[in-house]
Amino acid sequence: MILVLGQCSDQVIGAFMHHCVKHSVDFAFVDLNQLGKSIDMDELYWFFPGQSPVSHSDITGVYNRFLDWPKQNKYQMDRLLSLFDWLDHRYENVINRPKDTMSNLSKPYQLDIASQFFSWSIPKTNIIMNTQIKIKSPFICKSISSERSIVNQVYRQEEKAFYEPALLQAYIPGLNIRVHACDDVIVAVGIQSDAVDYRYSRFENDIFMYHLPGQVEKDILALNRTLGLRFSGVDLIYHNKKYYFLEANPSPGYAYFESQLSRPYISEALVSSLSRSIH
Amino acid sequence: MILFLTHEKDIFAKQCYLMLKYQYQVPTRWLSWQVFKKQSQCHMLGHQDIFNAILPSPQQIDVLYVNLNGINEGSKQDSDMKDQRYYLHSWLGFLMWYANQVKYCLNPLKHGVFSPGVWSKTNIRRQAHLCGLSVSEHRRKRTEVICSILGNQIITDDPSFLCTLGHERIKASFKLFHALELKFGQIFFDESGALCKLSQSIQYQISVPVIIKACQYMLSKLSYHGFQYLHVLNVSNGWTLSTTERPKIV
Repeated sequence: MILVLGQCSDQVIGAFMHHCVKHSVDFAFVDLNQLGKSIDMDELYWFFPGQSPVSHSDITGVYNRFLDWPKQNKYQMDRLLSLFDWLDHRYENVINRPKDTMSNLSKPYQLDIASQFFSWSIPKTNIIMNTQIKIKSPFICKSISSERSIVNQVYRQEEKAFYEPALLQAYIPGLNIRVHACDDVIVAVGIQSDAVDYRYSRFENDIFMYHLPGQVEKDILALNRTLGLRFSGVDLIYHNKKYYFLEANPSPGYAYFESQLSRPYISEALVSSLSRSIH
Repeated sequence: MILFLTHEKDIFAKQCYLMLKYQYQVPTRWLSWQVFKKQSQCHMLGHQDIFNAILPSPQQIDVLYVNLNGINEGSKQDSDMKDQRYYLHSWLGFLMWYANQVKYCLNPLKHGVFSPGVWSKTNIRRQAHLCGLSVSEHRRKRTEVICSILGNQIITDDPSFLCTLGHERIKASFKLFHALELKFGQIFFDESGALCKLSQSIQYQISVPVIIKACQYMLSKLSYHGFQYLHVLNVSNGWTLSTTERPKIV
């Protein structure tokens, strides 16, 4: 049985569970808002309302989409910490363990690690704080941490004030590529968009299957291994016959891309990885 | 250079800083979170030269002592929860990068340490068992003996307790710190030598020997192009090259 952890409002969880239902994959869903309320766990079992307890030993894999701390009292906090311990150390097969997702807390930290691979370049990136600057070549500005920021403005000649640390990164025009890598399976898509940040395009994006060079694929798998990630969504840009690495998202919202493809390649890869025991 | 990034009331760090600066006379800087967060800084990834003169580039720092307690000092209290979280994460995101640029960080800020699961009581007890330490089962507070771990040294106010612990459990304590990627911290034992709890910083029994050992440990990480700085000479009546090393020209 696959254990799915997340929140009801998460569309990715919805898409994954829909896939499981459609293909008769056995799963149980833990709504993190209900942990310590209607859903609980102990050393041996999970307890769901109106159902028989599920033994931890019956769980072949855990799909972890812990994105945000729910409001909690002391007991629920205690349950969440216990769950973290299970995810980080006790379940054999977790995509992804919380401790491995933390590289995304710092984009420059991740960029430094990614710069060790040679099939892509890293855009010129600055970290700036408490400074007023005048921009002289096209840059974008984005959050330094895993907090999402919309990147739809390209600064060209403006003055800009930086207070809290943020990234000022060279603007690279070109084709956006999202690569989902789950264990050894790679699914890459190209995104043709009119917006700088395709996630916030006013118009429909064109999404198509993209064939990556073998070395880029190899480097993405090696990067995942370095970061400890078994599933990631790597953002690349292809410009002037060169690949640029932007970031590796450890909890990728893959459903949006998959809905445009002919097959649920990514859900299939996730189910395959989570259904087999790892020893 | 040794840089301290911590909160104003970190007595251990303050004492180390003062000893390093005034007794050992090595380049040392102290920045509280409040001051650090007001510094103008510009860093370029992959380049050592930065154009802010106030702070050294991370590559110029030999040892960074960082204590994340109090990192919220000087944060924007008037903003909502979402903004506060973004603000905190921005600083953590920066520090994680910065700490991994310096040559030596106490304690290291690798990404795994940010998971609450790593610091859960259950995990610490499990790791302790795996390393060969017994864990105190007493829930009520008993007399606890505090041992400070400073790199490869263990110090306690009661030296006879180290005999109680014995070689194997001391070795296991270092192994536990290694497993948790800690260099400095404290372990609380009960009288029988079983682990009660663990702290990632030095908060109690900040004695002179603890400060001296900590300073010596930090000094051992200072490197000037292939040699290690030890201390300033108190006397100036010796020779670098003795008379016999300077033969007379005949």
